[in-house]
Amino acid sequence: MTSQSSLTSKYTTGAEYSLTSDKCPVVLELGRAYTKCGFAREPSPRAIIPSKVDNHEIYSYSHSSELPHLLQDFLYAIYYKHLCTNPKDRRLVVVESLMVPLEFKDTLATVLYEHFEVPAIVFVPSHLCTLYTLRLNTALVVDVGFKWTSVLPVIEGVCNLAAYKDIPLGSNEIHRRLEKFLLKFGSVRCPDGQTRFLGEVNPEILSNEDIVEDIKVRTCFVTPRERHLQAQGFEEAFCEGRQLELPTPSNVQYPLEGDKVLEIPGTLREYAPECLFEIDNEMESVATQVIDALLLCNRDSRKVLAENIVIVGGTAMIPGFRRRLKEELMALLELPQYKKHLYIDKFMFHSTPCCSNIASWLGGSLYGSTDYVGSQAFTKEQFLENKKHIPDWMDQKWKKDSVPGL
Amino acid sequence: MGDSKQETNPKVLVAQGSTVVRDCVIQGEVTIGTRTVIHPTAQILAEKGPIIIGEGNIVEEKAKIINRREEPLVIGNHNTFEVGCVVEANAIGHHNTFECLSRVGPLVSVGSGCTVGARCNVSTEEVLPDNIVVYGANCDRKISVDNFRTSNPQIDFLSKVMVNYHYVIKPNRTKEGNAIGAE
Amino acid sequence: MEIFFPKVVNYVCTCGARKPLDVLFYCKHCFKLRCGECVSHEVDTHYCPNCLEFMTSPEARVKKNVCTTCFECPCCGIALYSRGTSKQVPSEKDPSNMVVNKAYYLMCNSCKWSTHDQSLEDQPTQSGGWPRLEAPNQDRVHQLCEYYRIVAHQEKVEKDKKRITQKCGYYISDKYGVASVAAKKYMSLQVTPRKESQKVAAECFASKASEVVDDLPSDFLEELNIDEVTNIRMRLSNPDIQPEKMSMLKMRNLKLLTKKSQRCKECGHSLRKSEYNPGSVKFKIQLSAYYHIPYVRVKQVPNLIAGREVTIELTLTNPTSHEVAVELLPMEEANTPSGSGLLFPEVTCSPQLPKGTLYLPAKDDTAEYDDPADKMDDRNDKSVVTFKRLNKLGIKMQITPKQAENVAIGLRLKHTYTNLIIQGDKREYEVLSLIHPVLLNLSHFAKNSISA
Repeated sequence: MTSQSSLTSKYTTGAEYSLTSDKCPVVLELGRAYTKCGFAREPSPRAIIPSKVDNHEIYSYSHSSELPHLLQDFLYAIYYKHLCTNPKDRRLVVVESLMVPLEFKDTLATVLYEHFEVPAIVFVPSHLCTLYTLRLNTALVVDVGFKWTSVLPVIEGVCNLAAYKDIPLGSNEIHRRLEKFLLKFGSVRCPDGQTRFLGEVNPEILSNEDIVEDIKVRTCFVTPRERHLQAQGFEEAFCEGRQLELPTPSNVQYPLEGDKVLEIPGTLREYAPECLFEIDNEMESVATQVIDALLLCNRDSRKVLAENIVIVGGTAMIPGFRRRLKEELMALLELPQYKKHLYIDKFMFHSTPCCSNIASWLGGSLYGSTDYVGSQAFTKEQFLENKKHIPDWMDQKWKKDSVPGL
Repeated sequence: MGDSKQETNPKVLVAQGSTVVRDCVIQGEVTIGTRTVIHPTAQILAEKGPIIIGEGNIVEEKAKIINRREEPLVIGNHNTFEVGCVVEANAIGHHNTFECLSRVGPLVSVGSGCTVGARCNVSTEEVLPDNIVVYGANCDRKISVDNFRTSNPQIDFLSKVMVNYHYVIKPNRTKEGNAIGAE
Repeated sequence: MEIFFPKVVNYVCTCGARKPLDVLFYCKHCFKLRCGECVSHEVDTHYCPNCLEFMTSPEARVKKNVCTTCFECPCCGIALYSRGTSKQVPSEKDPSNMVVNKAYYLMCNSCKWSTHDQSLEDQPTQSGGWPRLEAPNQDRVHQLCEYYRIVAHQEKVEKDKKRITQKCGYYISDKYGVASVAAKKYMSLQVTPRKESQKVAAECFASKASEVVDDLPSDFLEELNIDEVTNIRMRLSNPDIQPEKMSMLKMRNLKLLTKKSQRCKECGHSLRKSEYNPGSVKFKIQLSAYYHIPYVRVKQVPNLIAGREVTIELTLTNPTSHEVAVELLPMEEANTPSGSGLLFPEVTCSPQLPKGTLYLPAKDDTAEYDDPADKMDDRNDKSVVTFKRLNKLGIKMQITPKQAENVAIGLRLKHTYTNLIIQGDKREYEVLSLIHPVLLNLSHFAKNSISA
């Protein structure tokens, strides 16, 4: 099974490494919210840490000159604190998202090669890696992350980039919705005995992303489709302050800062993750991405892909997500615009051998245990020769380099 | 830190077997049960209503127990109030530990077996259920499975040793609560 | 005063970073300053923060960088302590006789989590016997690993077969020294994966999809007690299971910490190497700049007012055991196309530096407690020197700040460095002259003097 970048580049890459070094490569996945780092051949990462340096996210840099220092500090902590290994000794497998900006990727490579003196790096696409965990060659990978949800079909080991679909819906949206509604409808019992809304008491407290994330992780869940239809609009109910006719989930008492208790309304617990499935003005939601990706594929692969769907990503671990996604997909099949073109009647899902948030990392770990790392890795000399640029699927250089017939 | 001939507060009822040093500050109507040890510089302030302390408690240095309400504050048995804690609760059960510099607000009723960790703050209006542990910088909570219902072995040691180094208030009640002949 | 404002005086390292002198290294072989960002860090030893047991890197690698005897609390992350309980149980020999049995369990001091929460049996010994956590998907991952290794190996063999022809097998001239490498390559083609790996890989099955997916737990409408649900940090600290309930938390072995050593990237010499024993804070090699380069400190700064000339007082300290001649030079001016600008844009005003050389006597540890009978050195300019004590000299200079806030002055410290060269039996002293740019940030003083 080969990835696109390995289609026979003209470089005879560091094959000598495979004979000498016997230490397992380091596997690193720099996600938008969390970074997973560990060693190849292991079933789980050694550490899952937030992608932040001193509360500053590494992906949100205002100026490109800030990025090398951010990455330097961040990678220093990863190598010496979490992994306790010298970067010089081991090759590196970076599991990356296909849409990471080129500037970020090149800066990352520069910092790794020049400052940390990593011998060789391989960049693998995260969607492709996931298939290693299932021993499959064909699947439709749905990655529900922090900022983006991306869908990529992989057919016989080749990423079908023409059918790539993504939408900026993820945990971030859920956080924003929670914040907005808690400020308006979350009641706080203050130490003086009065009950007020959070917005009046301390509106700044929710700007601490950790608290909102904690509320989402511990209390939120995705409600089943029929409940959503029966409720006929949570938002109106909320804003008007009326009770829904359904039995509602219980309110949760959430202690804030020791001296206040925030009451999280039960309906908000199921309403917050609804943003992932609401059809927006462009008639898109997380579920439509899957169907649209299928439509962009060849007709003969659509059925196979629909029967091999893999859902990965941290946000997919919210209780009830998978059931709802399946129900939404089945409902979308009935819509006229899809019924005419898509002749599938069922969707089948795979379950990865590990939790969804580390599925891509595990794929990278399996990849790193093979000899592919030796033959496909990019060394520092090659990087400098290539004008400090990692060959990427976007620059189509592989087309020029590929040797016909091999 | 008064001199040895300080006037004892007449409303303080000290049971036999307890060790209450003269150097602590006790204001208002306070009843102290047997085998309780009150360290010097501890403050028990029954400002408006009385405080009734049970048996086997330890109140360490600079701890403050305040009752600003008119109803009596009943503290159960075998509690530990560590150094510097400030407790203003409604009611306190048995076998609780208030660690150093913790604060408990006036609207809280503490159950039994609870532990309020060091520098933690519980000031909401609620009934703290049994066996809750409040810990960490963010005052996280969890339910503790272990129930340490044995009495603190320190009490025996302290009762013997404190007398050697501090002046102690003479008990004026027996263990059952009857008055002893006036001293 | 310097103790409270450590960021006042920054030396400029060879790589351009501005750092205070106490965090810089001095490479004795390149004669240059190095900072934490331009040296290479290497992991020396690993040690457990709880029991201080230390081990070398290969040993730590085998143990997966965790301490085998210490455990960490899954709830708050600190080390667990062993506590003993004694229970009266009927003895094995005579059931009617009650024997006191000591049993040990582990407990966290801060959050009171204990092994009873995980429903683990108490151990009879204080230090051992706790089960090590295994990943639930270990076998499947191992299967997949072996399968893909064999697939990759087969692909590689096919690719290489086309390159290496049979001819190379019998005669390889060693003229170019490639005989061993070619022989190894040929041998690697002959290697077949071990029988066990092949067996495991053969068992590896492709995952089967199903229409049934994970459902919402049926009790979602019921009362949720937030104290029973784990938060994200507790879940991520155990990536294998990521438990959602507090009752499912499992303790893990404590992670090891490392002792690092630093090495100059240019010449490869060690700059700092600490002792193996984790309990010791000493170093085997320590080439800290603090012990080799004269230290400039700001002693006194009066109110800084824009446009008015003020006199500031600095102190120079000589940390070496040789006499040092110091000169304070003005900053270099960069030849930029837009005219002359300073190399260091943060400098806002240039001081009137004292001319001439200042001589600092050697550091004498024995004279530290003697009464100072310091005679002013006649070679020093008396109008500039304010005081002299052992190896320390106070100097004053005038500055005219352009504005009251953000006052930063820059100067170049030129000093002599006596280097000891040992050639066989001969010991020679070589005197070099080094120049370091120094930046002094006086904005702290401006704020304090205004508020005072």
